[in-house]
Amino acid sequence: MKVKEYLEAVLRDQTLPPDGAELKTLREERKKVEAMLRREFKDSPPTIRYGGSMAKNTMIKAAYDLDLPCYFGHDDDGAGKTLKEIYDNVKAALDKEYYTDPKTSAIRLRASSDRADFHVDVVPGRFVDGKDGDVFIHQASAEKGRLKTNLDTHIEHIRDSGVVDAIRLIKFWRERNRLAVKTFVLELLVVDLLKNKKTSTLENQLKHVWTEFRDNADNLTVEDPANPTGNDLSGYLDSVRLALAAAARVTLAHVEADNWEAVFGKVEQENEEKQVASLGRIAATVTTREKPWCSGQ
Amino acid sequence: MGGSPPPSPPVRSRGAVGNRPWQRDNLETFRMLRERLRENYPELHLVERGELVVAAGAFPLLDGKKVVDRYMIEIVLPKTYPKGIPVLREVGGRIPRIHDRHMEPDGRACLFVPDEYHYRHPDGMDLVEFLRGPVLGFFVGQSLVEHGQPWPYGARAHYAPGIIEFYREIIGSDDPEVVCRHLEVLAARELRGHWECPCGSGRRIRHCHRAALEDLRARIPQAIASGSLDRINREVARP
Repeated sequence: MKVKEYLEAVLRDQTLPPDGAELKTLREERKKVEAMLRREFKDSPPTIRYGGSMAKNTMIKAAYDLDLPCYFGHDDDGAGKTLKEIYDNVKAALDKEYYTDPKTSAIRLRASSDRADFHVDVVPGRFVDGKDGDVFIHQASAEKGRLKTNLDTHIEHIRDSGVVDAIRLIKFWRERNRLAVKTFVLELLVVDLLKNKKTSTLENQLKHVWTEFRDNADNLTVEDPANPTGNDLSGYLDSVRLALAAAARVTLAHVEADNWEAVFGKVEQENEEKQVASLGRIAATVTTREKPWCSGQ
Repeated sequence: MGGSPPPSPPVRSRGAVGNRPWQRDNLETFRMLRERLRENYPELHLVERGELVVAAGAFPLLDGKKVVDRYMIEIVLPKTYPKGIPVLREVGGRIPRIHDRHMEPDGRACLFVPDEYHYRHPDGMDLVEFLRGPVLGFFVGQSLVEHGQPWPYGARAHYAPGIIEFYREIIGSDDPEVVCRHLEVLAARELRGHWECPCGSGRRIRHCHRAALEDLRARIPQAIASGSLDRINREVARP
């Protein structure tokens, strides 16, 4: 199998089917969480949206979860006066139905019975001024206990970067190498490293990222595109720079030996006949069948 | 093809419902479309780019729950959505931009002859229907061709001959003169019963194929018919 085909097969393997159990569960939990938060804060209804990898098109099967930003109006104290109060009150509301794990800015949901992970993070916050989508989210370690950012800016920056497939594979590589890099930081880093490589092949994009990790780990920086002067995210890399460099070194050795399966694992290689049979079955499901043409204009 | 129709003549073409972007007048429809897209195609997202609405992301080919193949795409919805023709582009660079693969050099996909699309879908198509129908059919065809198989539902000849092929199926003739006479009727501002019927019977329209021609005019916009007429006149030599 050629490298291009192999990488496409890995991407296919990492794609969650729309009506598969994982996405169905995420959608159901989202509906429950939304209904519950609107009930609990009926006088101050929050804006609840999809965020994270689902909104950015970077979801992978190996590590999927759903981010649910839950933002209150900029002049609405119904959920709390301070961001910490908002965070605590949202957590208290969720505690009625879930077992919750507090994170830096998010609240992870687990089943109250057996603490099974729902893969859902609720991120409480408040709009800054209701105009541009800027929000404050609670972060105890941050200056003033808060972080200012913009969900739409983040989503568009990643989703429209033109390198989403590279991001997904680097996320998968992170999982396989157990690297403790936060997802949103890794995504921003990959977009920045590939800003001049958008027309390169996927193979070359990956090699470029790994080469930068191996040779330049100490100098890697990450900016928040929603708040570039306010949020320097480079600190999130400090504890993993060595690990990134080491993992990239090993990976590049495998790649140079043309051993891609050592990087991403084996993929099921269906024989030609089965592939064609699958495509034939799909063709039979098409609801309106058109004959392609060519305008030449 | 799934591309933009030729420029409209000064008179508003039949089938157009105005120049105001549809999502400005139909916020609830836009919101529901976004939800439906998310449920059916979670890797595709609806965004506004200026006045246009674009669906962008990864489009999977699913055999049951298994992802057999996927393509990176963008679909620009027409301002008159659901009427009008969405413009599909393959943005992953995977499909060669050659006419034999029904692709334009800028990545636009040629899904069908525009006249045929309007004829079969005079009320347009909802985006999810469009994805399940023409888009899925196009990409499963591309994947089959990559495996050395033929297009699953056949393909039209390139350029003006493809237009003539379509009209042959409707009017029963592939004589370019006959097709052009029909297109002149479709491209006219009004249908006049006293004109000679384009079928060549020698009778006036009102005593011949009036109902059929009115039906065609209701389905195929003036601008589309006019564009096709121009192409055939330019490209097809006639004695």
